[in-house]
Amino acid sequence: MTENNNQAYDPEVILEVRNLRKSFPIKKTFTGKVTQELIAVDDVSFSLKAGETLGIVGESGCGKTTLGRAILKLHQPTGGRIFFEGQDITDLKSSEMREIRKKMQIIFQDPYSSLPPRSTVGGILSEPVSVHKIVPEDQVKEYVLDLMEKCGLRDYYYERYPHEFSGGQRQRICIARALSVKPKLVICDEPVSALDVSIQAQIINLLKQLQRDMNLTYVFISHDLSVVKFISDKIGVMYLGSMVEFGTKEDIFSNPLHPYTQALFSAIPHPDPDVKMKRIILKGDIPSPANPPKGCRFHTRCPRAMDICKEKAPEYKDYGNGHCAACHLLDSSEGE
Amino acid sequence: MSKSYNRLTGKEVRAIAKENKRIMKSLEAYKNRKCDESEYLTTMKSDSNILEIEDLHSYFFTEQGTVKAVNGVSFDIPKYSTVGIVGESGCGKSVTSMSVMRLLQGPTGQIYSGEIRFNAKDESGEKVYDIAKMPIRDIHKIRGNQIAMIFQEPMTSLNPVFTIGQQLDEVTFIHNPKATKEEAKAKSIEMLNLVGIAIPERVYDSFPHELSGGMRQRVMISMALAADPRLIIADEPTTALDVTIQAQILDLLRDLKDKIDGSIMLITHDLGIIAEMADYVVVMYAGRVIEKGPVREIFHNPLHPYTIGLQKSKPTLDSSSDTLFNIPGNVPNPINMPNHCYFKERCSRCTSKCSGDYPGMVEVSPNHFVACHLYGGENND
Repeated sequence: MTENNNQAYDPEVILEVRNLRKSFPIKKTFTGKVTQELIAVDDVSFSLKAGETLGIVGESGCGKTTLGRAILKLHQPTGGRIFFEGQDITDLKSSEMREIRKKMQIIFQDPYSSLPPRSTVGGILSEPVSVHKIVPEDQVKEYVLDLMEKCGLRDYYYERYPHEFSGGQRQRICIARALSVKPKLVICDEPVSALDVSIQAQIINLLKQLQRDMNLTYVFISHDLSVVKFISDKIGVMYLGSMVEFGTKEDIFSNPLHPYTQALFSAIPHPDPDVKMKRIILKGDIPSPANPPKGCRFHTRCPRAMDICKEKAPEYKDYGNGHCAACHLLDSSEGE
Repeated sequence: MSKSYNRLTGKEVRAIAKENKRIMKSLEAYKNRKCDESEYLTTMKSDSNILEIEDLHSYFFTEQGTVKAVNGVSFDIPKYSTVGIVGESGCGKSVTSMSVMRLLQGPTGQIYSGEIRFNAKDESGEKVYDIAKMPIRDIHKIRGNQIAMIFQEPMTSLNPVFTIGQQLDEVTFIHNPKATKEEAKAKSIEMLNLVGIAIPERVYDSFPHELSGGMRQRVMISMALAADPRLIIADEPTTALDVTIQAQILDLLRDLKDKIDGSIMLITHDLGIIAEMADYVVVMYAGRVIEKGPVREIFHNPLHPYTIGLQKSKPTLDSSSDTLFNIPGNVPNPINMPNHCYFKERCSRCTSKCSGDYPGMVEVSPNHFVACHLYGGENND
């Protein structure tokens, strides 16, 4: 799939990302030449079918948010290609992107800072509808009220301001805003991590139900593995900017290949006092992405690191059924 | 639609402010009084406990009305054990811990009534203090050296303009004024070693911004341990950290508890952490304890509909259902709480009894208490 850029696209695939790379300059010379850069997303590839949910997990600083924003082109990618519904959107101008953005939307992490404090809920929700001319002007209010009902917001909230709502309600407003333009792809950037457990469950259920009703495709970014497992069909695990493992939910959870994925799973506290899991505790901290370790980026913390890991970065390969991983261990144990 | 939010008139706000001022003034005076130690000496209900909280009320006197953040909380912390307190934001779990440390922000935040009995130990032997009655000038007898606290945000709890070493040494100097500089430094480095910091000498000389979140939390823990406390209050110690770092810190806390022979009061909203760390669990909702019991009881035989809902609404790695159970509605507004069960509006198993008085605590099995009309005393079914 990677060799031919002009290959006719599979109509089922809504989003395809090939070797995406995004770096931020840290140091520049006087003439503007970049001398040091932070590679936030390095060589990430995946494809996603319509109606599916891709969960992206990783610790803070692993580049998952940057990946989400680069897909929407809120950050211009430094390298690689993004295909949306078969169209290459990597080099589109911002005016051309506006049309596409109607079909791809984002829900942000913090519902407290992502709503304009001076607009009413009605104003927040009807603005995108009128800008993109989703429905005729005289039907906007009716459309918005209908949408609010779908998202579990009462109709009298229409005249209220964001500060009058709790976190869960605000997140519902953010979801309604994202859905108001009838998108096909929604990037959910940690939509529940700022909420309480009982409210989290409400929002996750709402997202799932809306996905069924409106046939949405989600890219669900989260650091919480149990939430990701619950909502996703496919899961990508990121570490220091690169995708270390990718596969269907079943594959990833029943047979995690990469030692980082294994450690991540075992680190989650289990809500049952009698289950004593064998825990892999990773030593040390995540290295700085500005100065990542040579070779495999995980080798500084990997419990099973070998000599080769320090020198050569492992190749990201398919180990059957679209279950990809990048680790030297998998190559060495293949013959057994 | 009109009655959905209650704005107060200026007159009402002034009346509330006047009343608040009167109450706050008397409470502040009580807090700042000079008195003899005998006035706040008391006795423990049971010798095996390190801390006993009984019917604690901590209020915030705001201009909208009185927020009863902690409204009649009682529980005990036995010696050498970990007690976990769970609840959602705003349920009063942090205010409970702040009350124990006497760190409530005055004059608005006040301990209104109740007893906090703490079994303190100094050169002259064990003494039991009632922390709620202690004047604030005597609080140094226990705060920091007998009870230490680990705060939620390691990023903001350290002073950015002093090195880690200076901040750690200060603890030793305050609790042991006769210590020399060398002694303090040796003690600080020993503490950093204890919490698993690889090169303590280097960390000793670094500033907080040079350390990662996990390292800072380790420094905070070492600071809490510096004065050999009998009780450590950990207020969401891992909320700001990544899962792999969280696993490291929890491991460390478990280890340390055995090393220092103390007790831990662990406050968190994550049931997974509770299951792993705690021996005894206290579940709070809207300022009250709704269920408490040994950890196995709470997880295998939860009784209160809120506890059950909380456990079901968290997706786990081995759950496979399609929709999550959810508790409808929101946590109620803490001002002007009704006089019936606070969970009534969100409860799916409501009965006619629930409109009556707030349910009392019922002991359903040894040491397992629940406050719900479903498990009413006489006809226990």
